[in-house]
Amino acid sequence: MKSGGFHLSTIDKVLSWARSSSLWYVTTGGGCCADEILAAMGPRYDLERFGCVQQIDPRQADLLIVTGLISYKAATHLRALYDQMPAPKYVMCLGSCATGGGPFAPEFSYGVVPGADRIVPVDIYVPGCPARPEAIMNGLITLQEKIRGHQRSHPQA
Amino acid sequence: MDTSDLIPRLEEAVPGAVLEVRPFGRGGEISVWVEAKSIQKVAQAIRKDVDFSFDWLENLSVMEVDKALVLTYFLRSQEKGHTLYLRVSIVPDSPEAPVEMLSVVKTWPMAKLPELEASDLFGIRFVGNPVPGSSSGRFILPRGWVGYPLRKSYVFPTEFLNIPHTRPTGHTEPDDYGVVT
Ligand code: SF4
Repeated sequence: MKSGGFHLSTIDKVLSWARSSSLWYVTTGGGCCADEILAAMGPRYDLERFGCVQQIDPRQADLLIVTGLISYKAATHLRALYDQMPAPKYVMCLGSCATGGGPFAPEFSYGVVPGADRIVPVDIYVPGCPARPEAIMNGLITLQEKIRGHQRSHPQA
Repeated sequence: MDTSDLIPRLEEAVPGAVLEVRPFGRGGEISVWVEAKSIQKVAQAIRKDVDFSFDWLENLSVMEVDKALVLTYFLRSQEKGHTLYLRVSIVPDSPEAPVEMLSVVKTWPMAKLPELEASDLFGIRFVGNPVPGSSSGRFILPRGWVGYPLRKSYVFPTEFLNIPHTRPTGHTEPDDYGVVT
Protein backbone atom coordinates (compact mmCIF):
# COMPACT_ATOMS: atom_id res chain seq x y z
CA MET A 1 0.00 0.00 0.00
CA LYS A 2 1.08 3.50 -0.74
CA SER A 3 0.40 4.92 2.69
CA GLY A 4 2.35 2.10 4.36
CA GLY A 5 -0.55 0.87 6.54
CA PHE A 6 -1.75 -2.64 7.20
CA HIS A 7 -3.67 -4.48 4.57
CA LEU A 8 -6.24 -6.84 6.06
CA SER A 9 -7.55 -8.49 2.96
CA THR A 10 -10.79 -10.16 4.08
CA ILE A 11 -11.73 -7.75 6.84
CA ASP A 12 -10.95 -4.85 4.55
CA LYS A 13 -13.31 -6.27 1.98
CA VAL A 14 -16.08 -6.58 4.51
CA LEU A 15 -15.40 -3.15 5.91
CA SER A 16 -15.41 -1.42 2.56
CA TRP A 17 -18.54 -3.32 1.57
CA ALA A 18 -20.18 -2.06 4.75
CA ARG A 19 -18.94 1.47 4.21
CA SER A 20 -20.06 1.61 0.63
CA SER A 21 -23.50 0.26 1.50
CA SER A 22 -24.24 2.90 4.10
CA LEU A 23 -22.98 6.14 2.65
CA TRP A 24 -24.54 8.70 4.91
CA TYR A 25 -24.10 12.08 3.43
CA VAL A 26 -24.14 15.69 4.46
CA THR A 27 -24.69 18.32 1.80
CA THR A 28 -23.62 21.93 1.71
CA GLY A 29 -27.05 22.68 0.33
CA GLY A 30 -25.98 25.62 -1.80
CA GLY A 31 -27.10 26.66 -5.24
CA CYS A 32 -29.81 25.18 -7.43
CA CYS A 33 -28.16 21.74 -7.48
CA ALA A 34 -29.39 21.29 -3.90
CA ASP A 35 -32.89 20.94 -5.35
CA GLU A 36 -31.72 18.02 -7.45
CA ILE A 37 -30.53 16.29 -4.29
CA LEU A 38 -34.00 16.81 -2.87
CA ALA A 39 -35.50 15.29 -6.00
CA ALA A 40 -33.10 12.35 -5.77
CA MET A 41 -34.08 11.84 -2.13
CA GLY A 42 -37.76 11.75 -2.96
CA PRO A 43 -39.89 8.68 -3.68
CA ARG A 44 -39.33 8.73 -7.42
CA TYR A 45 -35.56 8.19 -7.32
CA ASP A 46 -35.18 7.17 -3.69
CA LEU A 47 -31.50 7.36 -2.84
CA GLU A 48 -32.13 5.43 0.35
CA ARG A 49 -32.27 2.12 -1.45
CA PHE A 50 -28.52 2.51 -2.03
CA GLY A 51 -28.02 3.08 1.67
CA CYS A 52 -27.62 6.82 1.28
CA VAL A 53 -29.32 8.74 4.06
CA GLN A 54 -29.04 12.43 4.60
CA GLN A 55 -27.38 13.56 7.80
CA ILE A 56 -27.47 17.00 9.34
CA ASP A 57 -24.43 16.36 11.49
CA PRO A 58 -21.07 16.05 9.70
CA ARG A 59 -19.79 13.87 12.57
CA GLN A 60 -22.13 11.10 11.52
CA ALA A 61 -21.53 11.40 7.80
CA ASP A 62 -19.24 9.51 5.45
CA LEU A 63 -19.84 11.55 2.34
CA LEU A 64 -19.77 15.28 1.79
CA ILE A 65 -21.77 16.40 -1.22
CA VAL A 66 -20.70 19.86 -2.34
CA THR A 67 -23.44 21.55 -4.31
CA GLY A 68 -23.58 24.98 -5.78
CA LEU A 69 -21.02 27.71 -5.84
CA ILE A 70 -18.56 28.26 -3.03
CA SER A 71 -17.69 31.84 -2.29
CA TYR A 72 -14.35 32.74 -0.80
CA LYS A 73 -16.10 33.66 2.40
CA ALA A 74 -17.61 30.16 2.59
CA ALA A 75 -14.36 28.37 1.74
CA THR A 76 -13.14 28.19 5.32
CA HIS A 77 -16.52 26.90 6.46
CA LEU A 78 -16.51 24.17 3.84
CA ARG A 79 -13.09 23.08 5.00
CA ALA A 80 -14.34 23.08 8.61
CA LEU A 81 -17.27 20.92 7.57
CA TYR A 82 -14.92 18.45 5.93
CA ASP A 83 -12.54 18.42 8.87
CA GLN A 84 -15.37 17.53 11.25
CA MET A 85 -16.20 14.30 9.45
CA PRO A 86 -14.76 11.04 10.83
CA ALA A 87 -11.97 9.41 8.93
CA PRO A 88 -13.01 7.26 5.99
CA LYS A 89 -14.64 10.19 4.29
CA TYR A 90 -15.47 10.91 0.71
CA VAL A 91 -16.36 14.04 -1.20
CA MET A 92 -18.66 14.36 -4.17
CA CYS A 93 -18.72 17.49 -6.33
CA LEU A 94 -22.17 18.03 -7.75
CA GLY A 95 -22.74 20.31 -10.71
CA SER A 96 -20.44 22.56 -12.66
CA CYS A 97 -20.36 25.27 -9.98
CA ALA A 98 -18.75 23.08 -7.37
CA THR A 99 -16.58 21.38 -9.99
CA GLY A 100 -15.02 24.39 -11.62
CA GLY A 101 -17.00 27.54 -10.99
CA GLY A 102 -19.53 26.84 -13.72
CA PRO A 103 -21.25 30.03 -14.82
CA PHE A 104 -19.22 31.83 -12.14
CA ALA A 105 -15.89 30.95 -13.71
CA PRO A 106 -12.87 33.03 -12.61
CA GLU A 107 -13.06 35.16 -15.76
CA PHE A 108 -16.54 36.34 -14.89
CA SER A 109 -16.73 36.32 -11.14
CA TYR A 110 -14.37 37.71 -8.54
CA GLY A 111 -15.73 35.97 -5.46
CA VAL A 112 -16.32 32.33 -6.36
CA VAL A 113 -13.79 29.59 -5.74
CA PRO A 114 -13.07 27.88 -9.08
CA GLY A 115 -13.64 24.34 -7.91
CA ALA A 116 -14.12 22.62 -4.58
CA ASP A 117 -10.96 20.56 -5.18
CA ARG A 118 -8.97 23.61 -4.10
CA ILE A 119 -10.43 23.31 -0.62
CA VAL A 120 -11.18 19.61 -0.03
CA PRO A 121 -9.94 16.46 -1.80
CA VAL A 122 -12.66 15.34 -4.18
CA ASP A 123 -13.41 11.69 -4.93
CA ILE A 124 -16.03 11.99 -7.58
CA TYR A 125 -17.39 14.64 -9.90
CA VAL A 126 -20.92 14.69 -11.20
CA PRO A 127 -21.19 17.09 -14.13
CA GLY A 128 -24.30 18.97 -15.17
CA CYS A 129 -26.01 22.25 -14.60
CA PRO A 130 -27.90 21.00 -12.71
CA ALA A 131 -26.95 17.34 -12.55
CA ARG A 132 -30.05 15.20 -12.98
CA PRO A 133 -31.05 12.79 -10.21
CA GLU A 134 -30.05 9.92 -12.49
CA ALA A 135 -26.58 11.43 -12.71
CA ILE A 136 -26.42 11.76 -8.94
CA MET A 137 -27.41 8.11 -8.59
CA ASN A 138 -24.81 7.13 -11.14
CA GLY A 139 -22.21 9.13 -9.25
CA LEU A 140 -23.10 7.44 -5.97
CA ILE A 141 -22.94 3.97 -7.50
CA THR A 142 -19.59 4.77 -9.06
CA LEU A 143 -18.34 5.98 -5.71
CA GLN A 144 -19.55 2.78 -4.06
CA GLU A 145 -17.65 0.74 -6.62
CA LYS A 146 -14.63 2.85 -6.01
CA ILE A 147 -14.83 2.27 -2.27
CA ARG A 148 -15.17 -1.47 -2.76
CA GLY A 149 -12.22 -1.47 -5.15
CA HIS A 150 -10.03 0.63 -2.80
CA GLN A 151 -9.43 3.24 -5.43
CA ARG A 152 -9.12 6.84 -4.47
CA SER A 153 -8.28 9.54 -6.96
CA HIS A 154 -6.66 11.66 -4.26
CA PRO A 155 -4.69 10.49 -1.27
CA GLN A 156 -6.37 11.39 2.01
CA ALA A 157 -5.49 14.97 2.90
CA MET B 1 -50.74 66.58 -4.18
CA ASP B 2 -48.00 65.83 -6.63
CA THR B 3 -44.38 65.09 -5.84
CA SER B 4 -43.27 68.14 -7.83
CA ASP B 5 -44.98 70.30 -5.19
CA LEU B 6 -42.32 69.12 -2.82
CA ILE B 7 -39.50 70.90 -4.64
CA PRO B 8 -40.29 74.50 -3.57
CA ARG B 9 -40.72 73.34 0.01
CA LEU B 10 -37.41 71.55 -0.16
CA GLU B 11 -35.70 74.64 -1.54
CA GLU B 12 -37.15 76.63 1.31
CA ALA B 13 -36.13 74.13 3.98
CA VAL B 14 -32.60 73.49 2.71
CA PRO B 15 -31.58 76.40 0.45
CA GLY B 16 -29.30 75.48 -2.42
CA ALA B 17 -29.59 71.73 -1.88
CA VAL B 18 -31.65 70.91 -4.98
CA LEU B 19 -29.47 70.86 -8.06
CA GLU B 20 -31.78 69.46 -10.71
CA VAL B 21 -35.17 67.82 -11.13
CA ARG B 22 -35.46 65.22 -13.86
CA PRO B 23 -38.01 62.62 -14.91
CA PHE B 24 -37.30 59.11 -13.69
CA GLY B 25 -38.27 56.15 -15.83
CA ARG B 26 -41.45 56.09 -17.90
CA GLY B 27 -43.95 56.32 -15.07
CA GLY B 28 -43.99 60.13 -14.80
CA GLU B 29 -42.06 60.07 -11.53
CA ILE B 30 -39.32 62.51 -10.79
CA SER B 31 -35.81 62.21 -9.48
CA VAL B 32 -34.27 65.02 -7.51
CA TRP B 33 -30.54 65.57 -7.67
CA VAL B 34 -29.34 67.04 -4.43
CA GLU B 35 -26.00 68.15 -3.06
CA ALA B 36 -24.06 65.37 -1.40
CA LYS B 37 -23.16 67.39 1.68
CA SER B 38 -26.76 68.35 2.47
CA ILE B 39 -28.27 64.86 2.07
CA GLN B 40 -28.95 64.52 5.80
CA LYS B 41 -30.86 67.82 5.96
CA VAL B 42 -32.82 66.95 2.82
CA ALA B 43 -33.65 63.55 4.25
CA GLN B 44 -34.91 65.11 7.48
CA ALA B 45 -36.95 67.70 5.59
CA ILE B 46 -38.80 65.24 3.37
CA ARG B 47 -39.22 62.78 6.22
CA LYS B 48 -40.87 65.45 8.40
CA ASP B 49 -42.98 67.05 5.65
CA VAL B 50 -46.63 66.66 6.69
CA ASP B 51 -47.99 66.11 3.19
CA PHE B 52 -45.42 63.65 1.96
CA SER B 53 -43.59 62.14 4.93
CA PHE B 54 -41.25 59.84 3.05
CA ASP B 55 -40.69 57.32 5.81
CA TRP B 56 -39.55 54.28 3.88
CA LEU B 57 -36.27 53.78 2.07
CA GLU B 58 -36.98 50.94 -0.33
CA ASN B 59 -33.58 50.64 -1.86
CA LEU B 60 -30.25 52.32 -2.21
CA SER B 61 -28.43 51.79 -5.46
CA VAL B 62 -25.03 52.93 -6.66
CA MET B 63 -23.72 53.20 -10.19
CA GLU B 64 -20.50 54.45 -11.64
CA VAL B 65 -20.94 57.09 -14.33
CA ASP B 66 -17.69 58.41 -15.79
CA LYS B 67 -15.68 59.41 -12.75
CA ALA B 68 -18.60 59.88 -10.38
CA LEU B 69 -20.48 57.46 -8.19
CA VAL B 70 -24.21 58.12 -8.37
CA LEU B 71 -26.31 57.06 -5.39
CA THR B 72 -30.06 56.69 -5.85
CA TYR B 73 -32.35 56.61 -2.84
CA PHE B 74 -35.69 55.01 -3.65
CA LEU B 75 -38.21 56.49 -1.28
CA ARG B 76 -41.82 55.83 -0.52
CA SER B 77 -44.31 57.23 1.93
CA GLN B 78 -46.33 54.46 3.43
CA GLU B 79 -49.25 56.63 4.44
CA LYS B 80 -49.61 58.88 1.41
CA GLY B 81 -48.35 56.48 -1.26
CA HIS B 82 -45.89 58.87 -2.91
CA THR B 83 -42.62 57.75 -4.45
CA LEU B 84 -39.52 59.83 -4.90
CA TYR B 85 -36.00 59.22 -6.15
CA LEU B 86 -33.20 61.19 -4.57
CA ARG B 87 -29.93 61.26 -6.43
CA VAL B 88 -26.52 62.26 -5.26
CA SER B 89 -23.20 62.12 -7.02
CA ILE B 90 -19.82 61.92 -5.37
CA VAL B 91 -16.43 61.88 -7.02
CA PRO B 92 -13.59 59.82 -5.53
CA ASP B 93 -10.06 61.22 -5.74
CA SER B 94 -8.92 58.39 -7.96
CA PRO B 95 -10.79 55.46 -9.60
CA GLU B 96 -9.58 53.09 -6.85
CA ALA B 97 -9.76 55.39 -3.84
CA PRO B 98 -12.49 55.12 -1.20
CA VAL B 99 -14.77 58.11 -0.81
CA GLU B 100 -16.78 59.44 2.11
CA MET B 101 -20.49 60.09 2.19
CA LEU B 102 -22.94 61.05 4.90
CA SER B 103 -25.17 58.30 6.23
CA VAL B 104 -28.96 58.68 6.32
CA VAL B 105 -29.43 56.01 8.99
CA LYS B 106 -30.71 58.58 11.48
CA THR B 107 -33.64 59.39 9.21
CA TRP B 108 -34.24 55.99 7.67
CA PRO B 109 -32.95 53.14 9.89
CA MET B 110 -33.44 50.67 7.06
CA ALA B 111 -30.53 52.31 5.24
CA LYS B 112 -28.11 50.45 7.50
CA LEU B 113 -27.63 47.32 5.42
CA PRO B 114 -27.80 48.87 1.92
CA GLU B 115 -25.19 51.37 3.02
CA LEU B 116 -22.90 48.63 4.27
CA GLU B 117 -23.34 46.79 0.99
CA ALA B 118 -22.51 49.92 -0.97
CA SER B 119 -19.48 50.58 1.19
CA ASP B 120 -18.22 47.06 0.60
CA LEU B 121 -18.77 46.87 -3.12
CA PHE B 122 -18.16 50.49 -4.14
CA GLY B 123 -15.81 51.76 -1.46
CA ILE B 124 -18.10 54.44 -0.07
CA ARG B 125 -17.52 55.09 3.63
CA PHE B 126 -20.78 56.16 5.20
CA VAL B 127 -20.07 58.50 8.07
CA GLY B 128 -22.64 57.93 10.78
CA ASN B 129 -23.54 54.31 10.01
CA PRO B 130 -23.56 52.66 13.45
CA VAL B 131 -22.90 49.02 12.55
CA PRO B 132 -19.45 47.91 13.77
CA GLY B 133 -17.25 47.05 10.86
CA SER B 134 -18.71 49.73 8.66
CA SER B 135 -15.63 51.85 9.22
CA SER B 136 -13.26 49.00 8.34
CA GLY B 137 -15.12 48.68 5.06
CA ARG B 138 -15.74 44.92 4.99
CA PHE B 139 -19.14 43.47 5.61
CA ILE B 140 -20.23 41.10 2.84
CA LEU B 141 -16.78 40.33 1.53
CA PRO B 142 -14.37 38.29 3.63
CA ARG B 143 -11.84 40.08 5.81
CA GLY B 144 -8.69 40.99 4.01
CA TRP B 145 -10.30 41.47 0.64
CA VAL B 146 -8.57 44.07 -1.50
CA GLY B 147 -10.43 46.54 -3.68
CA TYR B 148 -14.04 47.38 -4.40
CA PRO B 149 -15.45 44.78 -6.80
CA LEU B 150 -18.17 46.81 -8.49
CA ARG B 151 -15.92 49.71 -9.42
CA LYS B 152 -15.05 49.77 -13.10
CA SER B 153 -11.36 49.98 -12.25
CA TYR B 154 -11.49 46.76 -10.21
CA VAL B 155 -9.01 44.06 -11.16
CA PHE B 156 -9.94 40.47 -10.29
CA PRO B 157 -7.75 38.83 -7.66
CA THR B 158 -5.19 36.23 -8.73
CA GLU B 159 -5.54 34.38 -5.43
CA PHE B 160 -7.28 34.60 -2.08
CA LEU B 161 -6.66 32.47 1.05
CA ASN B 162 -3.95 30.75 -1.02
CA ILE B 163 -6.62 29.55 -3.45
CA PRO B 164 -5.58 30.51 -7.00
CA HIS B 165 -8.35 32.37 -8.78
CA THR B 166 -7.64 30.85 -12.17
CA ARG B 167 -8.85 27.98 -14.26
CA PRO B 168 -6.92 24.74 -13.76
CA THR B 169 -4.11 24.54 -16.28
CA GLY B 170 -3.80 20.78 -16.40
CA HIS B 171 -1.57 18.47 -14.43
CA THR B 172 2.06 17.95 -15.18
CA GLU B 173 2.53 14.99 -12.86
CA PRO B 174 0.74 11.67 -13.28
CA ASP B 175 -2.11 11.10 -10.84
CA ASP B 176 -2.74 7.89 -8.86
CA TYR B 177 -3.73 6.08 -12.02
CA GLY B 178 -0.67 7.23 -13.93
CA VAL B 179 -2.73 9.52 -16.14
CA VAL B 180 -1.39 12.89 -17.22
CA THR B 181 -4.11 15.30 -18.35
S1 SF4 C 1 -24.12 23.91 -11.47
FE1 SF4 C 1 -25.87 25.00 -12.36
S2 SF4 C 1 -27.65 24.11 -11.36
FE2 SF4 C 1 -25.87 23.59 -10.10
S3 SF4 C 1 -25.72 25.19 -8.57
FE3 SF4 C 1 -24.43 25.81 -10.30
S4 SF4 C 1 -25.76 27.09 -11.58
FE4 SF4 C 1 -27.09 25.94 -10.17
